[in-house]
Amino acid sequence: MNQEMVVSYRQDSIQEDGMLFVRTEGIPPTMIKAPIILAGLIIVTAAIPLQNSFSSTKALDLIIFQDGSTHVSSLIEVDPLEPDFTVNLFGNSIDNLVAIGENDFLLYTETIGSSALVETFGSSTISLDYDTHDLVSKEGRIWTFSIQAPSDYTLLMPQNSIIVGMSALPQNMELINEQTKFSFQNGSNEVNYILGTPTSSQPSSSEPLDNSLIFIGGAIASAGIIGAIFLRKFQRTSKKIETVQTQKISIETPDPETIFRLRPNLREDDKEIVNFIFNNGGQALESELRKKFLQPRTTMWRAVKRLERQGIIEIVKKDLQNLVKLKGGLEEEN
Amino acid sequence: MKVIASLGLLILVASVFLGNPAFAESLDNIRISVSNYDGNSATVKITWNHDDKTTNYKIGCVSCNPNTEKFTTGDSITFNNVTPFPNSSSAMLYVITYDSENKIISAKQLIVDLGQ
Repeated sequence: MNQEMVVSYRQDSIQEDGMLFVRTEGIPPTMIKAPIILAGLIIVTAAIPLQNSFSSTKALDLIIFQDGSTHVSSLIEVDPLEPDFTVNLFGNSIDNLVAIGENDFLLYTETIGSSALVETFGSSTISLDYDTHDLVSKEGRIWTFSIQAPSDYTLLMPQNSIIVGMSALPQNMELINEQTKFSFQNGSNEVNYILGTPTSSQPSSSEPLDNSLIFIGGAIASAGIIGAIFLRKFQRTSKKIETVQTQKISIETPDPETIFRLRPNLREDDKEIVNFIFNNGGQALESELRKKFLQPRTTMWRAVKRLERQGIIEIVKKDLQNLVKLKGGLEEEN
Repeated sequence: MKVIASLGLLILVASVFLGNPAFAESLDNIRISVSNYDGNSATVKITWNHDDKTTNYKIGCVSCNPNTEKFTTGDSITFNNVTPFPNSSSAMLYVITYDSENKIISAKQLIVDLGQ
């Protein structure tokens, strides 16, 4: 049998006027899947930064001070596998920002506007503390605390605050050392208050005490005591004991105008303090000054020390408090 | 002797100030009476000492929803439908006194247990 090799040419299946046939049975499922795949991709892409900055507030406690600053304490749950996370702060004017991780590790923080970048250092729970000056505003004598809280929170009002309005009612209220503490739900809230003298009153339907009895008792007691003093004085003089008269040298306290003339470079706020002390009988407790001028402790202490350096006042300890007295014999500066 | 003298003086001063209502400052003595409490709201009557310097009083209820306020020139006021805070029987009210120039003289917070 002879084998023959025959060259055969492939016959073109497509003629000049032929048609192109394409398999279409796989296209419809692909068309349906495409948007799903695309949506999935978008979700994954969006979730990446969310995962990076994932955090949730477990507890939020706010304390308002008399000078209008607010201390914020929050406990935040974070992803310990992420190196850092960003947390939104209440305002731009932030002081004393401290982040503490588990095992009381102090964590690195960086404030950027109204948010802070906190390094987690492997912590899953971080406590964040700071002071903000942007939650409370003042108009006239009315202070207004405004917040958009991301979680439920507690709010401790300043001492001597009288609450005159609130937009959201609290879930709970309690009195702690004459300070009112509220528990609010998350969301926006506004609390209006003024600083004055608070009182916790219970309803009473009884008549007030007859004060005339107190008055009569007091008058009798006083008359007796005054009589005793006179009697003792009379006994003393009858003994004819020679006494050496002591001459009391009193140094007159200068009036504010004299002080301002002798100290022409005095600051305006210091002048107001001097005026207040003078009108208060020449002396005032430092706490009274703070209350009067609504200044924080450190600011008032600096002002008082400034006046002491200039020889205008002297600071005397009285019952563990600083008594600020106008000094007599003020001389002109050299 | 000095101690006795100081004590006597203290009693004298206290008796003068406490015994004579003319020396009482604005909102020194506040009396509150609650009536008609049905578990939701109550009527609260607030009475205070007269003060010549005060020309106007503003009284408000903070625990009421919405907050309410009233003005009076007298020495007492009656608030109807005073509601306590949620989950509590305590209502929070306030009294503010104003002088003739409409400046605040003093203010006091009143926390009233409506259930008592």
